[in-house]
Amino acid sequence: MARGDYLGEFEELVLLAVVRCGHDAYGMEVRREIAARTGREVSIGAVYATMERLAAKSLVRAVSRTRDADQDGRPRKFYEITRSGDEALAVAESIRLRMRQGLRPRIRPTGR
Amino acid sequence: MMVLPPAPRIARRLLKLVTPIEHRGAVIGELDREYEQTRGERGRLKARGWYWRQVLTSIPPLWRLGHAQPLRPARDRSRHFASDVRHALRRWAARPATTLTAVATLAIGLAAVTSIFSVINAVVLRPLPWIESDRLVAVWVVRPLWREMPGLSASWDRGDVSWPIWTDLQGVRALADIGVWSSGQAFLAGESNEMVPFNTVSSSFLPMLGVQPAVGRFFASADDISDAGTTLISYDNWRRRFGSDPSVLERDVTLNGVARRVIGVLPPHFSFSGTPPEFVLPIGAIPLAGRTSGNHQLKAVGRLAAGVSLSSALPDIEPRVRGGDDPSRKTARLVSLADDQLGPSRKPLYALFAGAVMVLLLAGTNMTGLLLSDGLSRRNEMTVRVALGASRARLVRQLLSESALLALVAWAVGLLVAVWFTPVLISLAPAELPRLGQVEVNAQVLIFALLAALVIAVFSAVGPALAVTSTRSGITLREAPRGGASRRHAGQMIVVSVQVALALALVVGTALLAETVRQLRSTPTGFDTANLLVATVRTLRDADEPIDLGPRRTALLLDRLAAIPGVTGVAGTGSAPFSGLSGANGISIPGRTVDVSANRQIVTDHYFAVMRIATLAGRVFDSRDLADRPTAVVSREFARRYFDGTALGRTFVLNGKTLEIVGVVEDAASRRFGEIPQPVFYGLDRQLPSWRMNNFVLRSDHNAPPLSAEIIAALRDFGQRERWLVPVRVERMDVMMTSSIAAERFRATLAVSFGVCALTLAVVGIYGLMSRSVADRQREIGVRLALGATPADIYRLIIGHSVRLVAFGVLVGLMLALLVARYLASMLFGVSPTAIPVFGVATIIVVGAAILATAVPASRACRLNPVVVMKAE
Repeated sequence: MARGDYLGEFEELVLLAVVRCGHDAYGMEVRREIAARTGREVSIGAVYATMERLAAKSLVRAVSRTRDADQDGRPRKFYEITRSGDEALAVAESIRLRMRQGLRPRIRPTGR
Repeated sequence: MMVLPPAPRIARRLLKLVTPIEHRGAVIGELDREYEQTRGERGRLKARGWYWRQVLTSIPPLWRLGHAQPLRPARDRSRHFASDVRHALRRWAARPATTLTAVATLAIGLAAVTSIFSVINAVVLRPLPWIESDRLVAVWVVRPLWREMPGLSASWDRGDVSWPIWTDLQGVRALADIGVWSSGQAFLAGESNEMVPFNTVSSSFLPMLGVQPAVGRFFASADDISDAGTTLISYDNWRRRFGSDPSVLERDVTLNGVARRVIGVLPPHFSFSGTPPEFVLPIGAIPLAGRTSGNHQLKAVGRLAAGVSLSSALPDIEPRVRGGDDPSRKTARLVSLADDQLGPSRKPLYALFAGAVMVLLLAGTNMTGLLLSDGLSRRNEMTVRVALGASRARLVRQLLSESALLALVAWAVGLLVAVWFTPVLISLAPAELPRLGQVEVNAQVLIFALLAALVIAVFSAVGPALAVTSTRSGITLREAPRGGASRRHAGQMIVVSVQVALALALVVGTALLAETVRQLRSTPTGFDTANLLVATVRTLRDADEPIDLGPRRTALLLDRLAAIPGVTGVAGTGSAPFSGLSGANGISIPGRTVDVSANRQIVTDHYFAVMRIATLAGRVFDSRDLADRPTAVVSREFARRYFDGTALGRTFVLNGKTLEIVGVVEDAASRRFGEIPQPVFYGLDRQLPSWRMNNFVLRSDHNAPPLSAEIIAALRDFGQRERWLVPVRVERMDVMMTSSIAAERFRATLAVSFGVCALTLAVVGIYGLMSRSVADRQREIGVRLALGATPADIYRLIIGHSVRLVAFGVLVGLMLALLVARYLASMLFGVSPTAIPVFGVATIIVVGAAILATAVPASRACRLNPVVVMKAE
């Protein structure tokens, strides 16, 4: 991975949410997932803009398909994580781990 | 098919606007679905709030998404354009003073052009609001003999048609449709007892225009023959007097003493020509006495049949208008309705528009000067970029985008100014300008202004861009900063010349129009205008009433008015000067074979004393003038034209009565300033009682407070008792006189404001260029000072340079000014379009302003310290 291609914080959140949603990863669902897990009210625009940015970096790819639950039959744009996306998440996680090494007592997860 | 959820529309549209097109469907679709769900769960209000929050917070990321730099270098031109704009923004932001000047300059020009265009657009350019309005024509009676006749010449080629002519015209093949109309003031009985504007129309008239009733119906053809006591009312009237009552069709009004049932309401804003009518009556209401061939009081409008042109229709129409008359006495004229109604407004408006365009061009040349100075000092940058492989077209494009950016900002500012200025313009405009109420800054005006801004941007930037990027001179990087000077000099020469020329042409035009107003105002009126009030009344004629009651009642009213404290004199007249009323009569003079005509003024005893019209010979009316032996007083022009100056004791015949001339008085203006003196005869009301007194002139004490209210009250009080008189208005004579030249004043006021703008812009432009020039020549000036030149020498040097630049502009400007003057010739009064004093004064003003603009940089040059300058080099 090239220098400067670290995931941004929000990018990482979106990417994680895409993974969590699995087959149901479309814009609004991703937004809801983030909102539910972080308690942060996120705008649909921000989610879309970020997913497009991730798509441009080939970390996710967009697929257009219809969902049985939708009565109008119009296709939705779903996102799924690519292999590079997986790698990027792994790299981010490992960087964080390395940065935290030996700091355990001072940093604890808070909230939920 | 999906049913659109009723999501907040504005928010949705906003979102659509910022979302890149490829994401629109997904983003908006999902948001809408979610909205539906939220609405179901949390209610409509909360869902709307949520939607709005989503949209507002989505805008920044989506906008960035749409405008993000692609990861790979772009290949398209839009990238160049964006970088041009960014570059331009940076450059302008770095020099706020220059930028502000340029924007302000352009904005002034654009505002001027835009405001005038908004007027032209509404008044002249927009087609008339009737169906197939381009096929509508006005039919006029032409009387060649009237052309030279005093009092009649104004309407020699626009005479109304008579009832028999209208009946005859109905059979004309060339016209698919024909209608007649007339206008007037009617007395509306009611609480307020007021005069209201009304039209009379034939049943064919409104349908021909394509007008549909808002309520009820229009007239039927039976209403053309007999009066069924019906009326239409205007929409505004319906709203105001009837509270938009839908049952208005059951209501009656009393107009001119006749009860009329309302049968229909006109659509909103109906106005055919002149004052919008409050009531519209059928022509069947015209009494039989008004339907004779001698009564010309209907205006005819027709629609040309398919395939018929104005010229091919005329032979069909002319014989019917002429009747049995000789063509040298009576013939017809056909003119398109648009030309008829709008034609007279065109030329003055176009002249003003041309003035505004000149202001804009001046602003453009200011920009040019600015870009030129700026560009040449950037030759270094340009040369470097060329060396790095930029094409010339690319550099020109960049310079053009820089000026386009300024022009766009100026467009926005100019529009704001225009939005503010247009109402001011309307308030200044003469009331006779048609469709003034429709003037607005609308989409057309917006687009026009944008085009004007872009054109001016290109106009001002093309020269500098080509000059700056020229590679012909082979200037090297090292030489660049100094090599610009000679090129700049040539550019300067052109810019200063153009500015001086434009400013001079505008100032000459301004001076001519302003002088016209001055000349008009200083023409003698023949009477004293100070502290003079004119009351206009409407007298109602009662058929059962003996006519000789008129003068007796008039005398009663005069006594009543004279009793108002502060009134020192009062007299009645059929038509006071500048009141817009006038009358003329054919008269025969014993010993002359051909009848002549003269303006008629029927007055009461003290008219001449109240007006202070000088008696030249004989006497004015007094108690010696008995009712049974008619006498007349005539004007100087009357005596000169018809009696070779010796009119006393002579007689003339008016409507079968012989009048003896007992006095000659000074010519008095009747309609407007500066008119050629007309022959006027004055008759005495008690000797000629069939004419009504429409005006009362009142002279007030010098120190009297404004008396209008007291006079109106007295008239109202009197009218309520006597029931034959309705006060219409009381005006100051000087105000009436001023409004009689409203058109000239409008033109002059605008011209002066354009002239001032032009001078200011020229001064700013020349100042900027000369400052730049002095800065360029610092080294030369330093050397001169070091070699012993005195500051006075330097001063002369700079001013001399400027004078040479200006002189050429003056030459061009004078030629341009001659063209302007020729165009304005028909709008001038009392000043020749080639008046040397006007051209001289204008030249002095412009040259003076130009030299003044140079004086500051010149005196700065004198104070240069040679040592400092040389060291800097």
